Amino acid sequence: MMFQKLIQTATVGAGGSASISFTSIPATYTDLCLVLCARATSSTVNMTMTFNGSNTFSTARYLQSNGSSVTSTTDTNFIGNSPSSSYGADIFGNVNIYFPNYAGTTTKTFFADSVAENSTTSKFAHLISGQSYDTAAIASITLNLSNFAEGSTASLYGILKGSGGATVS
Amino acid sequence: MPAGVSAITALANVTLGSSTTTVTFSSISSSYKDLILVIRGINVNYSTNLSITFNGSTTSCVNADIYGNGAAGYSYANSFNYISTDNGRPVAGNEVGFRQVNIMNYTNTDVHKFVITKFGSPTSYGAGVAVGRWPDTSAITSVAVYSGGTFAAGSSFALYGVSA
Repeated sequence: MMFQKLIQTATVGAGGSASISFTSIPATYTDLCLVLCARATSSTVNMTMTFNGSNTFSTARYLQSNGSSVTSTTDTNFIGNSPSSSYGADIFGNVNIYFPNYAGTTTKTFFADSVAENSTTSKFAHLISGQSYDTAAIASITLNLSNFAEGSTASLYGILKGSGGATVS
Repeated sequence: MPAGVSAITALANVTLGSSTTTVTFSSISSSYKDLILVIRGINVNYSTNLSITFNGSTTSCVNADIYGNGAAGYSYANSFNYISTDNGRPVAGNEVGFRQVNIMNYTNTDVHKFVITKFGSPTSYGAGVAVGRWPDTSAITSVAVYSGGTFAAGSSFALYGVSA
């Protein structure tokens, strides 16, 4: 049984874009995995995520490392830092976001890991865990940045579970 | 691997219809190189951490982690008689915890078994990565997942095999 299938992919064109959106996400998979490769066209690098039009996650906690220290804070829709326009040419950062049971009618959760690095001058790695009490299935996801640079890409995958094979006690 | 053929195969899955303490995957196929276990666990009781044993073993395992709880970052090492998916950072009561557990080289009888877990406890211990070593060269044929308390109905557990 195929584990992972591409649902949609988006590539930012000339001039850039302040958002990348996935809409009409089918409810036929078990989990979702979103892979983002991005760069900003300015020095504003915080990337955020909303779902189902405008919702943010009720709570999120993240761990940040910058090559010299480790910090942690809370947020509702932060998913990492992208490389800024001052990074070396052709440097794009990566974010991987996992949504288990996205189509269920219970509490939603996600986990993200992201990285942006420019040799010795600037580097960030993030681990982010979020939860929303919105019980609606996730039908759309929007990624936001000051401006995604041309060439930024995002791909959404559906993941199918197996069946049976486990005992509970 | 031929083009168009997935390297990852869904092996087994359970979504709980009622609360339980343990979920076990047995008779795991030896046809893959690695295993991935994805857990969306809702803990009814705030208790000990979400843990894993292989082949029913209670051998002492070294665990370590790094995590951020929304206030500060931490790193610890512990020894338990199981692999901890979060090095002792339990899923809080009624919290939806996430664990993506990577079990490498699970059929290799020449090496100890290492586990790397991304863990998310969004309303309590936050986000982190945990690592653990099961000091046994046996091939893994079963994986048991313990809540440390009780997994609520709706918790889901999915096992995947990764081909070489």
